[in-house]
Amino acid sequence: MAEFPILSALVFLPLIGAVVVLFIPRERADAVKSASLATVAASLGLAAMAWASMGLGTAGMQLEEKASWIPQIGISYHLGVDGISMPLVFLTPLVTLLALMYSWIVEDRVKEYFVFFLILQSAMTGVFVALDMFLFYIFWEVSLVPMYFLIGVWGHKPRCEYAAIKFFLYTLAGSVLMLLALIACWWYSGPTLGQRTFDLLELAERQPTLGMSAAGLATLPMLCFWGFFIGFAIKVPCFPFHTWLPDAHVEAPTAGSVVLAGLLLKLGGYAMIRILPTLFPTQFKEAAVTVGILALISIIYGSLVAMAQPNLKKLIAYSSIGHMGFVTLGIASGTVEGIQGAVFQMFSHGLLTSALFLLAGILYERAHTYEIDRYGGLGQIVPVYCGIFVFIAMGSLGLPSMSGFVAELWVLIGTYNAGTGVGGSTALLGTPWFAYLAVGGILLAAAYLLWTVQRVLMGDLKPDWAAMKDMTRLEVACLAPLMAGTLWLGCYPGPLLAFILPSAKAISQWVI
Amino acid sequence: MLFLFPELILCGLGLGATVAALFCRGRGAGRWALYGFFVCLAGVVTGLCLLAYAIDLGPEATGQLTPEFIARTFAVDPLSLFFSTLALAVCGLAMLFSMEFVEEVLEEHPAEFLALIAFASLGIACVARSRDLITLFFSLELVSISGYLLSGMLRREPRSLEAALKYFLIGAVSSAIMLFGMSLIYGLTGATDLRVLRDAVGEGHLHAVGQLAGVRMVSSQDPMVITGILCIVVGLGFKIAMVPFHMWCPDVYEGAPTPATAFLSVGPKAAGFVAIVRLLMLTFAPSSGPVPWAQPVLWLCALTMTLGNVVACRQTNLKRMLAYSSIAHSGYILIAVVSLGSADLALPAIVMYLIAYVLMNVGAFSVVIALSNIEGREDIHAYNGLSKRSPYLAYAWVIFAMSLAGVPPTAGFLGKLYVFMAALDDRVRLYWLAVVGVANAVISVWYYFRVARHMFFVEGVRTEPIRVGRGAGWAIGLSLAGTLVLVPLFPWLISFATSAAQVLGAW
Repeated sequence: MAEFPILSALVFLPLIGAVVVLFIPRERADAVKSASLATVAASLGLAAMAWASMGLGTAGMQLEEKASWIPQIGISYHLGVDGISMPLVFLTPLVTLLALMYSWIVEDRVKEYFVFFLILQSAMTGVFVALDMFLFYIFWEVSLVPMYFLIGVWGHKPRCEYAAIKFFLYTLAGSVLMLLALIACWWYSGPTLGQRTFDLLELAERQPTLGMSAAGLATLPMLCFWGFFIGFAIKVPCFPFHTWLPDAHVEAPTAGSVVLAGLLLKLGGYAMIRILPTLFPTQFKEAAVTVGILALISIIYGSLVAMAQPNLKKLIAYSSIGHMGFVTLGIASGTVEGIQGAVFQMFSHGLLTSALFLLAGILYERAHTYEIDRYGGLGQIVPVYCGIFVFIAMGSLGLPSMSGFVAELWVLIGTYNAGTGVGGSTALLGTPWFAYLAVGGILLAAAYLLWTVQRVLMGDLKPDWAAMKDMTRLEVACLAPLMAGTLWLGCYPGPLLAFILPSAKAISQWVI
Repeated sequence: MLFLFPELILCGLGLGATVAALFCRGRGAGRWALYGFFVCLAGVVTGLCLLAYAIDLGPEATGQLTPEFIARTFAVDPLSLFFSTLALAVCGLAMLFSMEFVEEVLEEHPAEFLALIAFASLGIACVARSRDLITLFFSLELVSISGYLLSGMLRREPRSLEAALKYFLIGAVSSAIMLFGMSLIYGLTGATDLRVLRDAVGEGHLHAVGQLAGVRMVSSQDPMVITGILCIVVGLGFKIAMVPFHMWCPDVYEGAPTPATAFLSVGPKAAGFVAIVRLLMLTFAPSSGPVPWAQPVLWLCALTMTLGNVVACRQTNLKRMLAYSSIAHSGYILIAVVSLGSADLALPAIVMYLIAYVLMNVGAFSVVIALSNIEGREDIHAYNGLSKRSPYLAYAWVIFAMSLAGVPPTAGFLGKLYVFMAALDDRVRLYWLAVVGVANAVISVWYYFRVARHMFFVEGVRTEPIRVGRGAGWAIGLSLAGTLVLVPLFPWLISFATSAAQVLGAW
């Protein structure tokens, strides 16, 4: 198995599946659905195999594949995974699989719908495994187009058109800034065209920012840093670049929201960890406090706005902003624990928010409204739904024994260390107040989630919903793996944390 | 003579079509278009082989294979060979996408339309070859005059006539301005040979030919020289629709028959940029001291991009929208023109962008042509619900839109990447211009995908499936393949563009 290019297979299998699906006649919707699901399931199996074949305790890239592609300007086909990317590489087919399983109920333009999801999976996996920035950028941008169509065609009319183009333009604006910063880094990575490189590991070694300073461009490194950061922050999304997210989420179809929140947002967080500390160590240290403040605002502001939402889906969307704020905060701390926590939080949030969006979608399927006030007392008639909802809400608000708790705890430890300098780290953030205030964010999350549970599930039953049916077996099957994962990671986080540790250490060393 | 093969083909094609025009109508003309396409295809393949051969030989050896009387006014370097092959490709694609038009719409002298396309393409090829001001001017006029006739081919439609007249009047004025500039330069130096002019303007030693002709040296900072050069810039600015000389473009594009518009949006534009490469980048760019035209073109470049894109957002007629989009694309290419300090990237960037531009613009226009052949109109509401009527057209548009907007993995992305690489060069440092460029790319997504929105998100009044015509369908397929295949072939493309562009100092 050592020679088998398993990462390439992971990236391109969904794409091949998409091509196969294209050739299935439009009328045979069930065949389209089965073929797509089989493809995603196969890639999930591949991802599991890849993870199993990885060695524990090594910080470097594993399962590397490298081939010359465009030597004239230093571009290669370079893939690899480490402790930071592998959990996300595994998460991608998992969440896509559950989203597509849930999508069995889709009846409108089935073929295109599934093909778009497969392309999307391909692109996201590509971002997580690409070690060449050119390749990375291609996958990064390709992920936009399918999502645009998923929101626009299968979303909730008529506002979904606006949401779709807003999503596209907003994220594109970020990524073109990143492109310019990337080209600038490329320029200062070598003396001639062929000697320059887009390779991420090479760039980290050569530190193009030093070249920029040597060329007398004192502000360019910082501009490049912010170019990259804004590109990523829009994707995460981090305050103040978050305004596309509530629109996109509310209007997207359920499976679209699941993939958007569960996976697409992770692209930003992953890229922040992978690129910012390694390419811009000096700038990272200078900007850590600013980034930390933005993260903190995301946490608190996101949670506060979530609390004020009358719309269930919008509430979950804003809660994502809050939770992803922890990811950014962990990264800004630059500590091992912070980065470990950030990766853990991404994985855990991928499970939890997918579940929340599925739950919202299930409710919408029955009642055709997201207005929280129109619900009430559902616990009396849909006990299974009620149980799962409470379970996931507890996970999301950071109840101990659930994955969210571990993740946020690790981020808080990292942030505290970065504030005080205990644990041998540099006091990048300068004050423990970042940690203190972030704890407030957890409290707020508890408040809005419990309040939502109360408003939707408790109280008197509204007569409209007296005939509401409980969850189908398919829906339970979609949610069960997410619940199991949350609980398992919450009770037994050791293996995953240990898996992330060496790579997190390697990243952290750049800035500490 | 071997290396003049593309020109000979185009010339033969034009003459052949003129003869055919005497006795064919309707279906016959369509068949002629198809023959023309196959001839061009064969020509492109041969041209590429010749190009590979010429690159292998190197510019000097290639030049020696050409008789002296031709080599005086006709450059036989890889760059010119590349552009003449591109002209052949444009001609071939134009034959394809105008097939239904000459068969069904054009009642009078349909084959003349094809002949004019061939002659205009011949003009483009000759512009690329020109190594003398006079040859260059004549070739540009060949392109322009064929263009005036093409836009007025629907003789009974007032809008087509208006377009032709407008194009003619403005074209004539711009030619006159350019000619005035050329005569100033000639008057000051006494030379029309571009190689001589390169040495005569600015510093540098005189070429052997120049000494024979008794050429006068002038400084590139001489006000008269600057005036002459700027007049040429204005003239060329009209040809490529650079702001503020773009006013004719939307009106002409909208009024002209759609296939003519499609051709005009790529053909004359390519010719204009080739002329810019020859005149501005290779001739009037002294190796030391400031380049006289750089500053004004720099500002106009930023303006061209921005105005083109912003105004395109307001258009509801697709031909008008694509007209403004083509103005914007001129702006992007001008980034590479003003980044000429980036010796190893600026010319390849132009070469690459032009290849991508031809493919994606022909593709996008072919979609418009295919629909306009059936619906007879080009406003954006004609596209409502197209994704259900013809998924092929709708998804093809999405790919072309991605490419036009510069979203990977398409040819347009490679073009933009190279252009921005040139602008961010350490020797150029046009950071602000690159930022303006990417901001424009984001704006452009809005209007390209607004069409996609009508195709995919809006329900159409008409729902019956569309049968895409043979010619337009093939043209779309070919451009689609080209747009997508260039990314995996990128390394080859780079080597190719780089070696084709290695003419500095050698020609």
